[in-house]
Amino acid sequence: MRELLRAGAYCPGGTDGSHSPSPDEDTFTMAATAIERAVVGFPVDPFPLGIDLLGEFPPSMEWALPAVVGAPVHLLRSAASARGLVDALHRATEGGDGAVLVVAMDGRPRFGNSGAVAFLFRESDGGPLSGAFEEVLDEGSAVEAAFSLYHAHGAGTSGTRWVGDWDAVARSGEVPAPSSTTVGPERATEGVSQGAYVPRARYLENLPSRWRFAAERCTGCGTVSFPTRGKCRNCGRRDALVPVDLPRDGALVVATTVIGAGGQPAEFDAQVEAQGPYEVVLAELAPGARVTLQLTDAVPGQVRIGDRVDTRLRRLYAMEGEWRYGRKAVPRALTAPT
Amino acid sequence: MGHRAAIVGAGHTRFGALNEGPRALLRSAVDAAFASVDRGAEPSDVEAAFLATLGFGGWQIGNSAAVLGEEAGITGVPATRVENACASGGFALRAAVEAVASGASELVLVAGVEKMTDVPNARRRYWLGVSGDTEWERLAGLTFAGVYGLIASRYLYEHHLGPEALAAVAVKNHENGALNPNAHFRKPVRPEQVASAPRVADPLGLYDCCPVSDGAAAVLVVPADRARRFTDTPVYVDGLGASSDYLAVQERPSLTQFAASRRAAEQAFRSAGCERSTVSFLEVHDCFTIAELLALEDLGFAAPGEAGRMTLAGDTRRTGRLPVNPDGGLKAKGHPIGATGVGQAYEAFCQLRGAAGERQVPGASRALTHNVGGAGATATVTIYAAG
Repeated sequence: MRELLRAGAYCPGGTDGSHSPSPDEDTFTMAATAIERAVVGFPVDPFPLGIDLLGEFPPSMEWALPAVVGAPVHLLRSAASARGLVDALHRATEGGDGAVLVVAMDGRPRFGNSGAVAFLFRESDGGPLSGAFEEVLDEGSAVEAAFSLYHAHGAGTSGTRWVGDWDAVARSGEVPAPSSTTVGPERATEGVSQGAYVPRARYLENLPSRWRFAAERCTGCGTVSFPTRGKCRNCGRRDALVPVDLPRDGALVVATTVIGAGGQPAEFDAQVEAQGPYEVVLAELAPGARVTLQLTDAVPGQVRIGDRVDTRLRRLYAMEGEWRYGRKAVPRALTAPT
Repeated sequence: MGHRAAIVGAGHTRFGALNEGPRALLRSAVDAAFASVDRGAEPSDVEAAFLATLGFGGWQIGNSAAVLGEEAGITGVPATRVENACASGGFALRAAVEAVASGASELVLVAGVEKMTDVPNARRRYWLGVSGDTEWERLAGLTFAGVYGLIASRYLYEHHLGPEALAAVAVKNHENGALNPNAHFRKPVRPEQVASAPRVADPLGLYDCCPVSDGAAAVLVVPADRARRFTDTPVYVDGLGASSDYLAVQERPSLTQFAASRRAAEQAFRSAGCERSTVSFLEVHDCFTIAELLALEDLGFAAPGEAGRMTLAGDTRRTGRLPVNPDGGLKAKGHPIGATGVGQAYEAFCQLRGAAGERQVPGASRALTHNVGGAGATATVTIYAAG
């Protein structure tokens, strides 16, 4: 048997509170955020991690899930209905080795059901929720059923931590217009051939550093090296490094700029054309470990030196016919309590 | 300590949006350098050549040093391209000085060239962008303007200064550029114009950025003890310093100090054996206005935060206590990448011979040039003395 250990939820915020996804969001980024909320700080052993995906998920991104969770994965696909979720949760509680993530996502820009949820199960003697799943079954989507489950049982579920936007989303209401135009990959690719050509293989090379802030700490001198180079940036030792993922939230902003009036690289032209200027910050993840991040879900100029930001996996730009993803900063004030 | 080498001739094309291609620009600069040698020098006497260029013009990426040989009429000598982005010229000069100081060569040609305006805007931004970090800064949406925008935001924050400290650099360098017949921009600008220009990478606006220029420059370098065969007024190279740093600024402990510039300056002053107080003027790498403020502090001429105040007070004007960029700097003279560092040496050559015309710094006897690659990833500092 496995036990529901942790549940992560993510709902789009947006600057206008509409809960519409931002132009740089899709089901992959929303699922990645929910997964992070379910697994960060909860190392799951033994690997591989089983991941059951419910919902429209870009098939081209299945290869990316190991980089999101930092472990090899086994993939399953289940139906994205409420029934599908209940079945998936039941399957997850049943026997087998290792940990399982059940991930549901919905990318429709509609108030109340856009977002993603991730349930993390780990082996145990018996799941406290195993009998409760049937009670939330209705006609809705898997994401809606997940929120029903939280509202019916969430706060009182012993042994399970509910992390993220579980309280932040209303379950019915008006359907507001999307907050801004979404630039599709076909559109965003136009003209990009003149931009910085980062071949797919190079883009993939340092994904752990770029997506999970994977770093190395030297047990000899204590220095954190980020990004990783296989040797300590202070003392040069290669035999004393331990992997460490730096915190993805709460980074301190040390510098900031707003890019406009043609100051952007050519591959960001389509974004500027559609959405206007954007802010970029240099933020400190940990002493001696800084990262350059574009700001999203915010008004350019909103974040200032000394502020803290959280980070999310988002679309950067399209190249070779697919989206390139990376972490971006979001203002702390807009993020859901965890 | 003494002299390490001497410059006996120098040439410089106009910088700007020019009709000439890189070959014609190189030919003009090299011909002018030979013509400036008082007792004459022949291309056939050149024993080695170094060409500083980032991309030549975008259509001769490889082996462009051979083209320098063709245009200079020195086909047959060892010719080497030196590429350290915007610091290519400074590093090419350094290579030439070391070649003559070591005894390997007796007459070395250094030339720098860039042809920027042939290239479509998007490709040019690509070109310039890939001299910076492409995995972090670039993917976050930054070009060099953006990286320097981050640096400027931090500098103003740390030192409680407003953007007028940046604008003062632009106003001063445009004032100098107006006196330089080779300058890209020959019009003064007012602080209000700088302040109201479109924001490229806030706090940097359009007038905080150097232009995209074409141009070439060349100098002839000989061993110090041979200098007087060529001229009675050589300009000696007394100090050389160079260093490098992490490519991405996110990996450096400070945003407001370029460690590469600091190390290069220490080396240069140590090798020249002179004090900062003996330097008559500086040519610093002001690709963006903020870069000039950082340079004054990194080179040891201003305490942290003081460069802004010095500039606002007028100390760095051509007639001030410490003239900085009397030729207009990258900001007003222009920044044809590979030519920039060689163009700085040209200015030192003219000024220290009292031949800088309207922009002459009175009584100039010692000069310092400072050439930076990217946002401080590479840097050279060179100290010169009048013969």
